[in-house]
Amino acid sequence: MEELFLFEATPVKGKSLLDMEIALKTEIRALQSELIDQKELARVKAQVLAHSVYEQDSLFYQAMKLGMHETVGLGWQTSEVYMQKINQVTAEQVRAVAKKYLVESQLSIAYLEPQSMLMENKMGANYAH
Amino acid sequence: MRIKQWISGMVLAWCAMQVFAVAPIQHWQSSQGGRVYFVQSTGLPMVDVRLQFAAGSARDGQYYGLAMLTNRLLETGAGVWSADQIALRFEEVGAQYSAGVNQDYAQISVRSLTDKRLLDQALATFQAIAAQPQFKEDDFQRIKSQMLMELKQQQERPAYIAQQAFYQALYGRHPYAHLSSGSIKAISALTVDDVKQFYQQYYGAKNAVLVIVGDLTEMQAKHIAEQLYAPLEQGRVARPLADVTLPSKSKVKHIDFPSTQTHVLAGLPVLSRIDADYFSLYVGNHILGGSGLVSILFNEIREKRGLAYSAYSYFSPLAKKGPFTMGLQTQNKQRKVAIDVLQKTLHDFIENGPSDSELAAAKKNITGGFVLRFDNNRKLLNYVAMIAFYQLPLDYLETFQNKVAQVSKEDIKAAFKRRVPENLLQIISVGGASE
Repeated sequence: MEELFLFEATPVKGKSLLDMEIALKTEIRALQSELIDQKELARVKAQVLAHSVYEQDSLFYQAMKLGMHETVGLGWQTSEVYMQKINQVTAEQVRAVAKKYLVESQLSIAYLEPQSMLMENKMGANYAH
Repeated sequence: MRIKQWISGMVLAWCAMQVFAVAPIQHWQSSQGGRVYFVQSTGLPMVDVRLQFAAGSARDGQYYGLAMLTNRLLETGAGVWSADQIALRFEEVGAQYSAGVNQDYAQISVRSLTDKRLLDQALATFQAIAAQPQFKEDDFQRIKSQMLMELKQQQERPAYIAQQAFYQALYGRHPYAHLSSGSIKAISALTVDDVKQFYQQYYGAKNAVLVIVGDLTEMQAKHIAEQLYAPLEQGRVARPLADVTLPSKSKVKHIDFPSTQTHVLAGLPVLSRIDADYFSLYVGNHILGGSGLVSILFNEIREKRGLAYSAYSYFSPLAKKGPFTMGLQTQNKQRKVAIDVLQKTLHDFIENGPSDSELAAAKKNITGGFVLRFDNNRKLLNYVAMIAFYQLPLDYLETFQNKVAQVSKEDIKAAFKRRVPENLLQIISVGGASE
């Protein structure tokens, strides 16, 4: 239901934000040109399925999920087939959607750069404790 | 993996809530003598498993922080697996591992789907963490420096400094006197052998309880209990902690700290998990400072005088007398006024007790919201672990509301008078100068 597909990374010391951006894009290109291996696909599926079960360990969230699916017009029944559909996803499909949606022309990039130490200290002093 | 119809799922969840209200905790001993507590919860195809040992920071001895360091080190290498391999093995099957320490106990937990292949791998990994930790030197050094770094960051938080001084004031030479996160000095001096020795002494089957909550049959739970207990050393039951002696006189201590808000904590060691006054004190405190925006403390401190955004009080029951804590934050210049009001509010409550309407409202609030305290597996696991570890009656949850209902105004007044001697109150404040 989300509109955005986000990638986020923080470079280690000695690497620039540009290095980081190139590394991320390399991964995305790999996703578009190669097939992910079965083991990795199985691992991700297990995690997605487990998460979708664990998050139901809350009456509040169960209600929210039903309401959410209904509100956006998918119908509350969507939740029922979710697991089944996740299990059916193939490596080819992953490659296809990566090609279809992760396109350069729709990409926005934001850099968050720390200010100098002097600036930081000053901000710290003004911060209400 | 089966998934139930949503509507029937909701109905089931509602039924489960009603069942929780009578919380059928099944209890047995593994063939090795390990204590097991199981609650069947069939709403979702998942299970939570927790091993809890009497291995909390009260067992640190001189080595403040040893219990926590040991607990954190378990998952960094066990059986034939490295830290990364362990993380990957849990990830592969969607399992979630967690661990933690307080004064009384150390626990390790895993949450997994009940699908056999997934659960088997999660449990095999969990079993290795519990029974065959590697305690490698480089992992030890890494976790040690992590803890030291966290402690250094804590030194910059007035809330932490206040808490540290508060426990010190309440407990003096008792092992509850230091926080579980330890001290920089003690942790710096630790070696990996200290950790190995601590593990040997406290992570045995006899010193543990195993808690299982989830969608399993009793047979499956029995099987898991055998599997988890079998590789553990027998060990021995940790010696009971020393009784807590109350501070000999009251104390008011201020610690200067460059902050615009002053943190105030006041209290005494009062309540143990198994305590004849448990319900009188619990219900009384709900009225005094435990019920958020409608408590007496909140009313006196904020509503009437605008001294703070919030003011509260609570009991933290432990194996031995845990702290009764009253707390607030206020502007530096209002510190003394706020402390006076705090003391006077406590004094008036001890003298007069609650009003009839306050008591009636508190009971209604506690019993009305009671079932929401364990309306999912995670919360239920916490309750069952508490009941198991402190050996509370298995019908604790069933009888809770009734015991609350029986508390009278006189009970509360008498219990507070006897158990919260205000002439011994320990008051700690941390903040900037009051002028």
